[in-house]
Amino acid sequence: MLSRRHKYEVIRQQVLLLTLQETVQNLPELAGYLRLTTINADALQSWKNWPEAEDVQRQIGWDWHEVRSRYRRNHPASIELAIWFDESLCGLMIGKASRGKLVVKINYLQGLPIDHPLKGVILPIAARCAEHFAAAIEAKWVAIQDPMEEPGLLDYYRDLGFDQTDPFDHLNNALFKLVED
Amino acid sequence: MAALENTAKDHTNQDDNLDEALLRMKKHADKTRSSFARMLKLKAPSVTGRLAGPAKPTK
Repeated sequence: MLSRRHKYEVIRQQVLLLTLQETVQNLPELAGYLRLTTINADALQSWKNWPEAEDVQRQIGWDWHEVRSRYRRNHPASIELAIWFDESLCGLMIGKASRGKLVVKINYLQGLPIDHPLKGVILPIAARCAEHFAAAIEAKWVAIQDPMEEPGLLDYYRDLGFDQTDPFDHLNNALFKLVED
Repeated sequence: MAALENTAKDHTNQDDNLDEALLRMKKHADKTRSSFARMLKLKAPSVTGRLAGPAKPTK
């Protein structure tokens, strides 16, 4: 018998597993190297060793340890993701479903601030995880909250399908993508 | 007794809900497989560091 919290835990595990399988199917050179985990103690420790991005705009305004604790405590319908290439941490993501479960938002997303083997796939992998979670809980949208605003990057978000503004709050700085039925 | 029965029923519903949720996820994955393949092959801009979320406050 499952509690609601445990149900979400199982869904999260399956999201990671499915996304990993799909990614390796498409990029077989990553087999044996790509790992997707929750933001566990290893991930937090590895993150502490990341250098700070040189460009101020690319520096994060949060602490992953604090955000992870807060989301685990307050948001059962949340998702978290650590993206590894072998033993090297390359990306982190945390998001959650809105109260009405209409939207699954990526609230925090960071890639390793220096060159790494998974450059170019951090965002697609994070987006795919969010989309799988959304499909599981019947959310209609996935979204990226406060996307990094550079012309090339915004075009890239749109190419990934995040091409709509927040339909619920036009003042909110987020990009939305409809989850296909 | 009624409270216990309701709790058991809720947990049974959660089990069914989980199976349905996983099935929805799988169906959606099957339907959007090629879309994800395309996403992975898109030429990404040279981006590192913060990709979403609040920027570091400037002093």
